[in-house]
Amino acid sequence: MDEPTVDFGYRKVPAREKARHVAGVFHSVAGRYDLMNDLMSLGIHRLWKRIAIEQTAVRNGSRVLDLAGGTGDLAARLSRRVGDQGEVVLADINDSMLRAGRERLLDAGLCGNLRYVQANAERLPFPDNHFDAVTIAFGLRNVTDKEAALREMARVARPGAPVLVLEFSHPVLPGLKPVYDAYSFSVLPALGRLFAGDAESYRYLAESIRVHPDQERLRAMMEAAGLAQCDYLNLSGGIVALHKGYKA
Amino acid sequence: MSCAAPGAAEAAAALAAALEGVINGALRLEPERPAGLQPLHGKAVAVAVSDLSLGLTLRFDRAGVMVEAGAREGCDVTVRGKAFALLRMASAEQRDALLRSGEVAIAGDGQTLRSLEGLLAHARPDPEALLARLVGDAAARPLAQGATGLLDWLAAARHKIEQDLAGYLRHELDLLPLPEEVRAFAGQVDRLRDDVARLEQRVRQLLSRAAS
Repeated sequence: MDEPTVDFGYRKVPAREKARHVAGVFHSVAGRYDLMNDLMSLGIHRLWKRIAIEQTAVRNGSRVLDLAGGTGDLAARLSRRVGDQGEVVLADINDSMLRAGRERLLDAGLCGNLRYVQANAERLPFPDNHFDAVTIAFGLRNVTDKEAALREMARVARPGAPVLVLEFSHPVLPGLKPVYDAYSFSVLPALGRLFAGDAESYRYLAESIRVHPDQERLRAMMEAAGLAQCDYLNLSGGIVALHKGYKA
Repeated sequence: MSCAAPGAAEAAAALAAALEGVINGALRLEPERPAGLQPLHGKAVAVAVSDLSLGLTLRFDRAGVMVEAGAREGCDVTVRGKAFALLRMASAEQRDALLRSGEVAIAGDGQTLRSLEGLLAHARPDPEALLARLVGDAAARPLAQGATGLLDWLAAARHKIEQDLAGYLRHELDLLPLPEEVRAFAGQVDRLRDDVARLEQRVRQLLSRAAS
């Protein structure tokens, strides 16, 4: 019997090996991840993340899970939003990214209401109905079994809590796609080679975006995972989409 | 999650981010900042700019202020007004007049409001220091001095134009009265009003006597 395969960029790899390949990419880029994000998006990723955080509507005392939290961009701001009485759990499958995030947040003086958990999004080590909001920013496309991850996010969210997915998507603005493609496959790997010494990882990032489900497909996947009132907001002409659903 | 126009969410977030940078930059230069922020921890202030259909929410914590796009419901204090009026609220001299005239309306928790006023009273934005964070000390000093000089010149020019225009309207065209003429006229109006009130009372008394 053939072993099931999944996308790893434009390549097909055995499903059980994707996590290892993705881990290799993020071990490679962890040290320069923030710099590269700024260079690649011209700093706009900070605005996309601000918009996502505002959509969580968390407040003092809320408990939030930031999945694939990486270097802690969302967690830093969420930590301030939930205050001393709240809690933010920054979870990432990759220990290099998690370590980079923890050091960065500690350097920023953020501690006390932050916890760090190395976890696979497909099998979250948290009880049911536990969080007031669950977020995943630029992480879902790297997960091997996206449906399982969405089901887990829905499971750990409290009834009525929002689940937010911020992810690269498919441009909807007329004329944007060819420009975006040229940028992704020419400029992006060149930036990766220049600033992170790793063109291949950034080529993977560009490819993984292309094979990621489009806006409508992801919304359908969220609904299939048991989330209600699923909707999305196209950002920067659809280069990025913010999907939101609620635990029923 | 629909948005008015493509890019509107990003523009609103960019404005909020820029304002957050400016406010926190000004607060960092204020030596009284920690004491001023302490009573505002965990508080939220919504600002609605009526003429621009724009809203912002300011959330305070011990690190400073977080500014969000959109005026949220349920904030501790809500401030409403037109953009120019809200900008003038930064000036302590104009604040009372703006509130009395209703150009700016503030509602919500009184304690939070007093804390916010206390923070504003201490806030003395230093344009040179703010510029230095962007362009460095060497360029910031001449830029700030140039900007301050230009603002002073504009203020002096405005004052001179006001005086010249008032003088022309009063003395050349004789369209406007002098202040002392207005005061004398207002005094005569007051006297006439009092005389009429007294006359009214006397007529009432006479009418009641005649009836009895």
